[in-house]
Amino acid sequence: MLCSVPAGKSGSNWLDRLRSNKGFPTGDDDLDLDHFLTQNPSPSSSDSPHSIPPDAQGGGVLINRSEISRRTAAQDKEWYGIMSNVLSELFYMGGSDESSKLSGKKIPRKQTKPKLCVVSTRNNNSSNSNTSVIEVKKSSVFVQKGENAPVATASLNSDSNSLVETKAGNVGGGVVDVDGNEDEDEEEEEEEEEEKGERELKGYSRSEVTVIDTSCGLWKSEKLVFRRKNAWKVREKKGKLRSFGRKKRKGNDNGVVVVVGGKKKAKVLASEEDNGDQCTTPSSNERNNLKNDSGEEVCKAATNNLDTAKEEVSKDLRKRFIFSRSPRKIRKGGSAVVLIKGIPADKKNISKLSNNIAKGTYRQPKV
Amino acid sequence: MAPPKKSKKKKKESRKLNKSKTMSVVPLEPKAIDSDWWDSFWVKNSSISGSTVPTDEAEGFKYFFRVSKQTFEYICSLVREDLVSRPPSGLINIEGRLLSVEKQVAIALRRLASGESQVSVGAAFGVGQSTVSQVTWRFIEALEERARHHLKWPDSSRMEEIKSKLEASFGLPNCCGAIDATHIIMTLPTVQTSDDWCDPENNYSMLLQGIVDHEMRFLDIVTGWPGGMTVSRLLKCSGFFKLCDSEERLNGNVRTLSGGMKIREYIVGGLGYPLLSWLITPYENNGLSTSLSAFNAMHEAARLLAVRAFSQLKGSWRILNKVMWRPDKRKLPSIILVCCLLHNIIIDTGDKLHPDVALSGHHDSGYREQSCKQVDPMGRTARENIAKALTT
Repeated sequence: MLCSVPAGKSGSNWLDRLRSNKGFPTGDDDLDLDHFLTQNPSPSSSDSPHSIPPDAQGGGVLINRSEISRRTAAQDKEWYGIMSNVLSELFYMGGSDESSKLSGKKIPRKQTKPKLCVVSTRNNNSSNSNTSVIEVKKSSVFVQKGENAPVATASLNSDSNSLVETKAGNVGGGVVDVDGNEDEDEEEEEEEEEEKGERELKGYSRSEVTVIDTSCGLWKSEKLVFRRKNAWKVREKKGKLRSFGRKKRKGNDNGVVVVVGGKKKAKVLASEEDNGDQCTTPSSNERNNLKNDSGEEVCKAATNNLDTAKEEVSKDLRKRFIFSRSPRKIRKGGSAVVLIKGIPADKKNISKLSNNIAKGTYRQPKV
Repeated sequence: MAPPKKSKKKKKESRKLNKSKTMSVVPLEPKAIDSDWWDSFWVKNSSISGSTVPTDEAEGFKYFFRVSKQTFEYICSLVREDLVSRPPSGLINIEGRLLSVEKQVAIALRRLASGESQVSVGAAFGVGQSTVSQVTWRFIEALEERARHHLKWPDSSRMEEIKSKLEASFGLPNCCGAIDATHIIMTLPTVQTSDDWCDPENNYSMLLQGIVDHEMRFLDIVTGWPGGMTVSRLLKCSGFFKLCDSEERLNGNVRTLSGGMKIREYIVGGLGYPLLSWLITPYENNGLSTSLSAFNAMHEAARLLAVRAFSQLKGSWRILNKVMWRPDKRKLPSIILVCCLLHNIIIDTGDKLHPDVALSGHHDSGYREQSCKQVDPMGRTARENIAKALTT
C-alpha cells in the first residue's frame, strides 16, 4: 500500500515526510535525541519546530537551549533546568563529546549507572547539560577532598566513586604503624568523629566489606571500613543490602526482626535486597558503637617461632585427643528453628512483596 | 571420555524430557535424572595414572568429596529444594541432560574440596566451566541458609559437656573453647587493591576467626574482614566480642575451686589476642617459673585445638588454602562460611577423615604470630587464678 510507494527516488525524504506528518521538525540528519528531548519540556517549542538551525550538529544543543530559554518565561526555564538534570542522570547529554575525547573511546548513550533522580532546582540559572555532566564527575573530587559536597550528588555517586576514594585515601595511609601512642590518639579521635558524617573522614581509606558473623542475629551484613594507619573505624553500610546472582530469596530477609539472646541489637531488614533504586529506606541499622575503640592495642610481630614447641605439644595432644564424637543426632530442623522459625514460611507473600517492589526492574543492579 | 551406556541412557533421557514437556510443570523426580553420576565419575577419575586415589570405592568417595556417602546424602537433603532442576530452566550438562541434585552437590563439593579450577572440575564431571561456577554458587547460597543449625553457640547443657571434656583433656577448669584466626589469601584486580586488604605478609587476604570446642568443631566464626587488620582488631570487630563484653556470652556457671577461688567461663587464645577476663592468653616466655610454664603448656595444648581445626578446614576444603584468583569479596565470606559448615557437618555426622587430608604445616604458614600487649587487670587475675588452680 503506502509502503510500497517507491522511496528510492528520494531516499532521505521519506523520513522528512514522516516527521512532518507527525509534526516533528524536518531537517537534515542532525535531529538527534537531544533535539527531541530538549524540545519537549518547552510548551512553546512545538509551534516553531523549524526554528532549529539545521547545521547545529556540534554545539547545537547549547544553541537550541539558549534560544529556547530566551523564548520561554522564567518558570519554563526553571522546569527546563529540572528536566535537564533528570535527563542527564539517565543519558549522557551534550557534554559527552568532551569526555569521549578525553577517554579516547565512544561513550554509550545511557549513563552506566543511572541514579535515583533527585529533582533540584539548584542550578536553574544555566540549564546547560554540560555542567550537570561535569558536576557528576566533579562530585567525586568533592568527596575525596572531604569538602562539603552537595548532599544529593554525594549520595548519588557514592557507589561509583568508592574506588577512587579508596585509592585516594590510601596515599600514605597504608603503612602499618607500630607506635601504640599514636594509635591511642587516633582512637580518641575516632570517638570524637563518631558522630560526624562520613564525608568528614579525612585521610581515611574506605572499603566496603561483607561480613559474616555467626554471633550476630543476621549473619551477613555489609559494612564500611575506614582505616588510617592502625585506626580502624567501622560503620554499618546504610541503604540496601544487595544480593547477587540470586533470583529469589527464601525470605529470611523480609522484614524479620531477629533478636539474639534478647540483645538490644535488633535489625530490621525491610526487604532491602529486592530493589534499591526507588526505595532507599533509611534502614534502622544503627551504627555499632564499637567499644573496641578505646582499647590500647599494640601489635608487634613476634619473632619467637613456636613451631618446635607446638610440635611437641601437638604430639602430646595427639596422644590425648580422642575423637570422642558423641552420637549427636543430626538435627533436621529441630534446633535450627531458632533462626529459621522467624522466617515467614509463606513464599507467596514474599514473592508478591518482591514483585510489588521490584516491578519492572527485571534484574537487580549488579555492582 | 563417554560412559559406555551413553546411547541407551540418552534415549531414556530424551523420552523423559519429552514426557515432561507434555506434562507441563510436573516436578521431576531428581533421582531419575543422571543418577549414575558417581559411576561415571568414578570410572573416569579413579584410574588417573600417578594419582593417589584410593582403590576402595567408599574411600575414593571420601577422597574426592571429603564426606561419606551417607553424609553426602544428608547434605543433598538439606539443599535439595533449592537445587532441584526443573525444565526448562534447570541446569543441564553438555549432553543436554538435567543435572541431578546429587551431581550438583558433587560438583560443588569437589570444587571446594580440591580448589582446582572450574575448568578442570568441570572436565571431571563432563560439564562446562560456567556450570561449575553456577552450581557451586547455588550450592553455597543454599547451604549457608539450610545448614545454619550446624554452627551456633552451644546451649548451657552442651557447654557444660564441652567444658568437662576440655578439662578432662587439658586440665583447664571452666574453659569453653579455643580461638584462632587465619588468612584466606587472594589476588585482587589492580583497581581493587587497597592496603586495607594487604596483610602484614604483603598478601591480599580476608580474615577468618573461629572459636572451636574439644571436637575442633566451630562454635562461632567471623569472616569478611580485611587482612590488614590484626587478629585483636578482628576480635574486637566481632559480634562475639561484643556479646562477651556485655556479659551476654561466656556468662554461664562460675566454677568454684577448692580454695574458694572462682573461675568464670573463658576461652583460650594466642599471644595475638588481648588478655581479658574471658579470653586467657599465655604468659610470655621469658624466664617463667615451672608452674607458669606448665600452665603455658596446658594452655597451648588447648589452643592447638583451634590451630588444628583451621589446618583441618584448609586441608579439607583446599579452595581456602589456595590463593584465590580475584574472588568477589562479597561472595568470598559465603564460601568460607560454607566450608566451616561442611567442617561441622562432617563432625556432626561422625565421618572420619583421612588424617592426610589436614594440612601438614600450620594453617597460616608464612605468617608470624602477632603479639598484643593489651592486658586487662581482670584478665590478669583470672589467669593467675587458673594457673594456681592447675598447680594445686
